[in-house]
Amino acid sequence: MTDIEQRLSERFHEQVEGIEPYFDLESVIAGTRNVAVSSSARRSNRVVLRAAVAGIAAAGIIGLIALSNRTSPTPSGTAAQPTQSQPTPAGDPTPTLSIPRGPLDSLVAGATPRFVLSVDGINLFLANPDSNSTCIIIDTGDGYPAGCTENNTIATGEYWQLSRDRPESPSVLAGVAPDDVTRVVVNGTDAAIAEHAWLVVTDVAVDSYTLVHADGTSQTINLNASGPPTNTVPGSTTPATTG
Amino acid sequence: MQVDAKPLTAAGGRDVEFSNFYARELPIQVRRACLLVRSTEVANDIVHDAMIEVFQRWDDIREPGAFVNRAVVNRCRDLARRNATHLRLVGKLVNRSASASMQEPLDDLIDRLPFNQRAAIVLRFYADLSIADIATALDCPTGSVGPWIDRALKTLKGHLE
Repeated sequence: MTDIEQRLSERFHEQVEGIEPYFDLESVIAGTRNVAVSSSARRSNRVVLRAAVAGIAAAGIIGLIALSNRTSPTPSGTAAQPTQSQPTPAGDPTPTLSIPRGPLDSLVAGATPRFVLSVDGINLFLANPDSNSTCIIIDTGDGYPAGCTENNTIATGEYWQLSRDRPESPSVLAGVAPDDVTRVVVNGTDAAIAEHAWLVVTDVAVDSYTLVHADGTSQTINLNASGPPTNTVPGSTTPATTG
Repeated sequence: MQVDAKPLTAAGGRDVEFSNFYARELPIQVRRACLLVRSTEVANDIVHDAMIEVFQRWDDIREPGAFVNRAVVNRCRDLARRNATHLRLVGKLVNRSASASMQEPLDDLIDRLPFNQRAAIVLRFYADLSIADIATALDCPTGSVGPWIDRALKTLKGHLE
């Protein structure tokens, strides 16, 4: 076995280590999807149930969002005010929007996304498939591209850029910021920000963005650089290299 | 469709045979499918549907192992096709941050391989299937499997070096 073959074999085994089936023999014989009673299966059941309930609510919410965007469009390149997600019934922490089964559930398995904010008709959702991960989902109106990250990497300035097939499409940049970030500035304009997620839709090329922390310090992330982000301290002309 | 459900505890017979097959194959198939679709839940759904099909046709299937291999791979391929169409339509959300490099680069490269190449290397280097068995699972001529594996390895090596 060559080096690459050995590496593949090891990697495949690492990836599926600990994965156990949800279903049981009785459910196969019944021809239904009655999952076995286990903690993971109960979680799966809840997710399916929540998705069904939330899916009904989602249709209405998406309609309202679309209507709102049509009646009061935001100029391109200007960040809109973040929109709070719809309140959920008391005692039920279920988020208000689900994702369709199919392509997306392979990206955010086991989590129901919640609506966070909207800019120029593009909606941003967050999902937490587990306590260590955050997923960001962008609804462009014709699909739901999504990306996930581990929470402990968010402090480094995590962002995603939506590349689109049509060059005339505006740039879509989104990210999740550390807890103490109060503003995210892109091309001199404040990005819409809510629940530490931010979103910018602009016709102007974006080369960098700046995270402004509650203590007044800022951190500029250069999109084209592979090096660490640049940190600055107000009043100082010398960039600090903290963080 | 109503399925004839005999007591599983009955000694001998169809249900016990299927029960043994199910217990042996289920975890194997779920893990394989998971490598192909990158989702535990989707993999479980796919294997569950395939197992229902196997159970319903148990009396007619001569090689249930090969049958379930093919049924699972076909379903994974269907999903991959739908995903590809979806991504072409909506563009791709690309994680370009520096921390993205913390992910195992091999995973990303494997995800970008065409489905048949990806399935071939999973079945070869994870499931340890023979070329003939892989060809059966992928429903293709035996002569196609070797070149798919070679091409996949060449692509991976090219990007990793």
